Amino acid sequence: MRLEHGELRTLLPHRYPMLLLDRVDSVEPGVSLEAVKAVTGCEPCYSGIAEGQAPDRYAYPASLLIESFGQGAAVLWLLSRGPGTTGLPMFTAARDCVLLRQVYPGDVIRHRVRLEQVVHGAAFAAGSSWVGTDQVAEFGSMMAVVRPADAIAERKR
Amino acid sequence: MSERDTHMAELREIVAEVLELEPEEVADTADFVEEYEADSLRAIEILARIEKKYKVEIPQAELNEMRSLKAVHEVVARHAGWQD
Amino acid sequence: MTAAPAFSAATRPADTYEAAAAPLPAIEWVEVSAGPRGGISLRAGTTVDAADVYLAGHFPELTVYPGVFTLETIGQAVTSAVGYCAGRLPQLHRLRSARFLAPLLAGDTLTVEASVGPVGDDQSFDVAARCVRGDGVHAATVRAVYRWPSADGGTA
Repeated sequence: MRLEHGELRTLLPHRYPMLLLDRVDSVEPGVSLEAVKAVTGCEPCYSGIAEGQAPDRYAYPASLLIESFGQGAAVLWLLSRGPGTTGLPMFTAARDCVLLRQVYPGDVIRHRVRLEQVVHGAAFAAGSSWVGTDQVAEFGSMMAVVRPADAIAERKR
Repeated sequence: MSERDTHMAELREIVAEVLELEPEEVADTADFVEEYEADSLRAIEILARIEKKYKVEIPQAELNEMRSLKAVHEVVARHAGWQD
Repeated sequence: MTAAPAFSAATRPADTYEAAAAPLPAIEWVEVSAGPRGGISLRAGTTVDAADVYLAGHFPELTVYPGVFTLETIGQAVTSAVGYCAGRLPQLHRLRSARFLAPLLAGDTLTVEASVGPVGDDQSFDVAARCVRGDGVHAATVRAVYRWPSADGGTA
């Protein structure tokens, strides 16, 4: 099964410029997924950078790389939850994630995500990210839950 | 080491890792929430690791009971059929 | 403000944002003091701004500061506090653990308190950060390893 960008927009509540997946190339719902994210110099994260910086300063931010992988995990999980899921996926914990190589504009990242466990409404995913044959990141464990927006907005005091 | 001691040591290691403590800091009867600032997500993480390690399924209703290492052991023993 | 000798001089938050690709200016202020064993202690803060370009997409129905932006705030605070090494910025290398405990919404402030370093022989250093929301609620805990990458750009 392959999911085009429009289908990702129906699954994820994230929107431009925070929707950090372009396409899902293959997915076995509830088991594993391979997703693609093309990095371009047009992304807003490159808009604030001062002129004349060294080449390494154009590395794609680690925060966005991790978010992109996390969105792959969210798609994999949400597909297995079936219709009727409402709420916002919240990234609640991560463990043993290693960034191995920088990613630059022009690189196409492939996330290989496995859904390890779903326990009482919390999902645990793991996997790796690649540019060509180079591994750029390893994700030991990422945990997420889905919470209704009004429950998030309601502040416990 | 008795079967019970082995299980307690394994569970203590899981709890310590999730709560980011040293295993020796996890007392048998200390309340996770009151003593270690654990929240419901930490409890789910502990449960997830236990389910994975021992290939057991523990009903959500038991989650509230699992507030100390000793209580976790009792719940897991019941569902995993341990004779500890 | 006294930076420990193993680290070069701190930079201003705005310079940190302009120095490299970043989704947002993630710190408004940073304070640095000498920490134990040649490391440093830092405090840094920011306010969640719903007008930020990335936050408009996270989410259209409700602005929530993503967990990864808490990592971005910590990263920019660390960069601002420790400065550069031979012109290179420190990079997040290993996320040992991150826990996001409470949501940060538009208008919320986030304060990071972190111990940083000392720097090891391989140019890496540990960061242990505790993040608190404006109302005093513990929002996140992060333990990570940062390092200055080698000249070829790899961090492995």
